[in-house]
Amino acid sequence: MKLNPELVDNCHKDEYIQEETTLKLEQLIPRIIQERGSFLNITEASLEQEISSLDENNIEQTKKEIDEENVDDHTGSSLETTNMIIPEDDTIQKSLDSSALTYEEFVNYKTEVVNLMKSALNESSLSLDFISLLISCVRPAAGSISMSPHLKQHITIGSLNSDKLLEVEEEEGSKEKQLEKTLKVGQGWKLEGLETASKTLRDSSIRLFEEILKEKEYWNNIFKIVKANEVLIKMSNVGGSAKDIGVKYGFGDSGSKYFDKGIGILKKDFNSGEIFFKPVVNNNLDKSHKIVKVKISYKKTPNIHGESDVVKLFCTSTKTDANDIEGNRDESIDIKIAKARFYLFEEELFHELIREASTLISYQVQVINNVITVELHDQIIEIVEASLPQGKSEIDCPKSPLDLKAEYVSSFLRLMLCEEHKQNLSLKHKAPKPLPQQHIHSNKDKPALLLRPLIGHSRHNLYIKQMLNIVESVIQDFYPADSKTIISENLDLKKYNNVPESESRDPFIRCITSPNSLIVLRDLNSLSDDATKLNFKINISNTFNFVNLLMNLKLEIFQDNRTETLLDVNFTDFEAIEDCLRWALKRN
Amino acid sequence: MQKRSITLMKKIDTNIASILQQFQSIVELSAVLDKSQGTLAVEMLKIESNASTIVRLSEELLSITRNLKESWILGQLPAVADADTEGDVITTQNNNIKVNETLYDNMNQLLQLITTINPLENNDQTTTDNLQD
Repeated sequence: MKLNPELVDNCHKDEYIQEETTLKLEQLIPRIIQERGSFLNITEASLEQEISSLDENNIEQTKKEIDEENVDDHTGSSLETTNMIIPEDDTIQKSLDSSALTYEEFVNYKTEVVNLMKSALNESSLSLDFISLLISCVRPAAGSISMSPHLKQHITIGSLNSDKLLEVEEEEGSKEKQLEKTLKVGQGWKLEGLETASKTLRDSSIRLFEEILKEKEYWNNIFKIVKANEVLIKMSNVGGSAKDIGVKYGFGDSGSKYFDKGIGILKKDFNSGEIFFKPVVNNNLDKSHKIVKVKISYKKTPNIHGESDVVKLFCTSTKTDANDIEGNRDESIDIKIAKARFYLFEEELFHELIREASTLISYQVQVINNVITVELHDQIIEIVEASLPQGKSEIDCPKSPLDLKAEYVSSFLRLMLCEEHKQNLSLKHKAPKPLPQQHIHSNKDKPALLLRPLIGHSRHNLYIKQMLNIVESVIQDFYPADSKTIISENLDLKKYNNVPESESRDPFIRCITSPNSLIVLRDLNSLSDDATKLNFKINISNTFNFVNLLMNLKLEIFQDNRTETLLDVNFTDFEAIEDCLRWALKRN
Repeated sequence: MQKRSITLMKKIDTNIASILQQFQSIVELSAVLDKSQGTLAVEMLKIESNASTIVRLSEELLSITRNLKESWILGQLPAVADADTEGDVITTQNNNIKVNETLYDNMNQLLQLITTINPLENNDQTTTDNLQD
């Protein structure tokens, strides 16, 4: 065998064979199998015979001949190489002689051949398909056997036919007849063709005309939406159709952080050209059409309560008539969009309210069964999600004071959400903070300020009232003679003293800053010394979360044209501050 | 002119030209001269195919108008108030300030109403109308 290294060494040094010896075992064995067949068939005798015949060759032939013999032998045994080599070709012979095939070249040739074979196979199966189709016209069963599944699937069997065109032997006299016949048939065909063409054109013109009418309807509707000042956007690849136009009806661009950014799609009905409006929501949430409703009752008389008017709110917001709340089917598209926007706002409002309420559990705010209950002094405010009442309701019924207050509270909450949006938007306009700071001061998940301003300011007003009562009683105790003049002239109350002067007009700024008020009792004559004047400054503030009470008492003494601070104490309790006030007056 | 409008114009031109060409070729093909039967058969089919090409080309023209409408609708900003001239801008600004003032007043009142402890005596103000900010 050529694979025997001894044999190679002894007899001749051929590069090609040498290379064979360097093959790895895992390459070698398949190769042997490929060349010789299974090892089962190789016997000792056959090997010996082969070796001896090789030996004879070696002796008999010249070196060149041996080379040739070997190459031939090898090519004869290897299928791939045979394909490559044409024995008469000198150049290939030489290249084989000089360097033989490298493995890469071999692989290249091999793939080339395989490709050629594949294309040949493809061509032949195509022609087989063609022939089968042709046969299937005459003998469907025979034709369909050799057809490819693809052809069978797409083309009905027997749909191709052939006929032999026979050149009619022309007789001398019938030539003119023949021409005439051709002319007649030709005319018929042409006429048929023209008729088909004209029918196609007429049909499509009718179809296109209808299409144009639909288009017109569609664009009229779109234009109506544009007129209603809605923001239209191009929707890309929603449900596969890239052509749809969308509408941004929500508050995503005005600072809302709610997951639903309020994007709707305007679908065209292909039959009528009408537009359908359909909100796009990421998940398959069931959109409940609910409105936030505020109920107020007194603790003492829980049966009597006031409610905010959801019907009126709905009608003013969506510019609909109170009589057709139920939404008849053929309401115009801009009203549909307005309604969607309204419900989206309500949904977000309630979501934010729940989020905020859950952080305020220690301040008499409870969330039970999607009802937010806020206890404020002697009143209980309940916030619920309600749907529109079905049927007609009395619109102009007289309103109780509690109804009105509920109305006010609901308006306030809505305005605060608008303000929250505004704040978010202004935050977006600012340059972003560096990342580490962003992480710390991220207010992404902070609940919106909706309930806290309401609770905070209500409580604050209560605190001020209590404090004023205390101060007045103290004055009455210490200055019984002129208590009234002191109260009217020397006592001052300054609210919102923590809001900068420039912004103090803006009620929204007042609402979003924690309430803070200052009670000043100035130029009070000292009880012991007439020349000494006393200044009391009582600062009442609610802490950063709006609800906790913090009081600061500052006593300044004005003596001999000098002002001295005598006291600067913080309190969280009214009794303590009253005691301190009395003590300070007694001492001075 | 923008590149896009140039290509659109070109497309319109070429489409119209080829519609005319197709139509012309239908007319030319409809003549029966001394052609062989085979040629006549092929020409008949060609007439039909030309007709459907004309339909396709006109559909393309329609899609151009749709594109134009779409880019016109989507390419413009929604009109903000009616501020076209400089004077109008100032008046709208003034109006805005006025609106703000009234809004502030109402909001302050509202805040007062809902946060004072006994607000119910003073209930003749309706502030709910300012809801739509």
